[in-house]
Formats: sequence, C-alpha cells, structure tokens
Amino acid sequence: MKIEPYLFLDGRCEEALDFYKKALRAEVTALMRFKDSPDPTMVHGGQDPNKILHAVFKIGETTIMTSDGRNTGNPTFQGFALSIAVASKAEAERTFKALADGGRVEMPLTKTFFSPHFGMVFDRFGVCWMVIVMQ
Amino acid sequence: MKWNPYLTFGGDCAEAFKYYERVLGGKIVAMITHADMPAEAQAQTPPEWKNKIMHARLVLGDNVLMGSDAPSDHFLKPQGFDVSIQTDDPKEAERIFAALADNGTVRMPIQETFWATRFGMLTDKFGIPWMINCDRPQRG
Repeated sequence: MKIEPYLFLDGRCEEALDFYKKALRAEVTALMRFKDSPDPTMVHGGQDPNKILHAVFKIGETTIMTSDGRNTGNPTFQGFALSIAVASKAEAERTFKALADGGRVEMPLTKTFFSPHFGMVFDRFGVCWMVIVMQ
Repeated sequence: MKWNPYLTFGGDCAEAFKYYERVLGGKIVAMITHADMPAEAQAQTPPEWKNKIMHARLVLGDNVLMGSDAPSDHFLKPQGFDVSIQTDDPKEAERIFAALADNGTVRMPIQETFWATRFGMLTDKFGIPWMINCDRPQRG
C-alpha cells in the first residue's frame, strides 16, 4: 500500500510543476492533459483541453500527484501541510529559501525542542511546507 | 529527502489516528499531547487544550502520516488536496473505501475507470479528503 498527497492546483499545475522542478529538483514522471484523456466525459464543459488532468512528480523516492482539477484558476490549500525532512541545516535553508520565493514565511527556520532546524512556509501557490532537520 | 502529508484536525486528531490505524494498518509511533511538551512550550496553552494532540505519527511500511489538532481560531477545513491510497488489491480498495466513508461523504463512488480497476473519492467523518486507487495490472 502507498499513501501519497494529491494536490489540486486548479489551473496553475503547469506553472507549479516548473516551480517545483527548480525549487525542489522535482522530476515529472507522468503527465496527461485533458485533451489526451481516453474518457471524454472527464472533460468538463469549457475546460481548457491543454490543462493537466493528472501528473506525477518525484523527489528522490517520494511521489506527489497533482491535477488542474476543476481549473478555477484559484487553488486553495488548507488544513494540511507537506513535511520535508532533510539531512542538514544547509539543505533545510536552501529548500526553505527556494519555496519562500514569491510565497510567505509562516515561521522562519529556527531551533525548536523537537528539531535543530524547523520552519513553515507557504509557497507562491499557497501550499504549506514544513521543513525539518530530524534530530 | 522525504515528504509526507501533515494533516490538521479541529480537536479529534487522536480519535482519527486510532481509526486510521485500525482501517489502514501500520502503527501509531507518536501521539504527543500539549501536556507532554516541555513546560515553556505549553505556557500559553489553555487548560482545555492540554490533552489535544500536538503531534501524531502513523507509520505503515515506508509511509508516514502525521497530524495535529489546531485551535479553533487556527483551524481551517481541509481543502485543495486528497490523501491518495494506492493498493494493487481491488478487494482491499473496496474495504478501505467503505471503512473511511463510514459516516463521511462519498464524492465519487468507487468504480472502474480508464486507468483503474477501482477508483473512488471521499471525505471521512473527520473532514480528511481521500482518494482510493487500484491500478490496472500492468500488461507484460
């Protein structure tokens, strides 16, 4: 069994994939556009056929899936975060800075009772990331 | 580098994680309340919140699901994502779907699609959105 996050980027999927490729060295391993769907009933009325029905991207061994979904142009993310555990303070700082570009820092990287380096940042699409160096 | 979903709850995180452990298997390896934190870290915690969850962690093989309770002035209804469960057993997909859908909301009944022998979407009774997927067997 595999448990993986699925993000609905609501029209900003392509832009987000480009951003995660740069910021997190993500590798896109699968991508299907609405126009390529073998099931035409999945394309909603007025849906841009070039928008992304389903994509998969990987960093190391971790997989995240995403879609433009209903393509409202206004993705909203709340009630969860994606936690990134990294091996060093330097990697935490690089990752945090890259994600914060165009986004909003919720809690700067700092020492806490559970981690030598921990911070929270909302990226430019509104996805909340927790960057943590494990003790 | 590893990424994992971190879920927030309005106060029923402990109940939810115990439910997920029963439905999905795996083991809860951390269930830390605010009362378990160092004194300086809980100085501002209201008394009624002491037994709420500050950090929970469920481990299933290589998968890690984490969560915590968020105070009502910070809690936002989960939105913009699903937690996807992939299994290669259609019966297991149906069992998990039915268990998570119990007292929850089915957003797409579990069914066959062009990519999957079983696929369905639901929001569970704790407000967490899930996607259950069982891919077609790969053609050799």
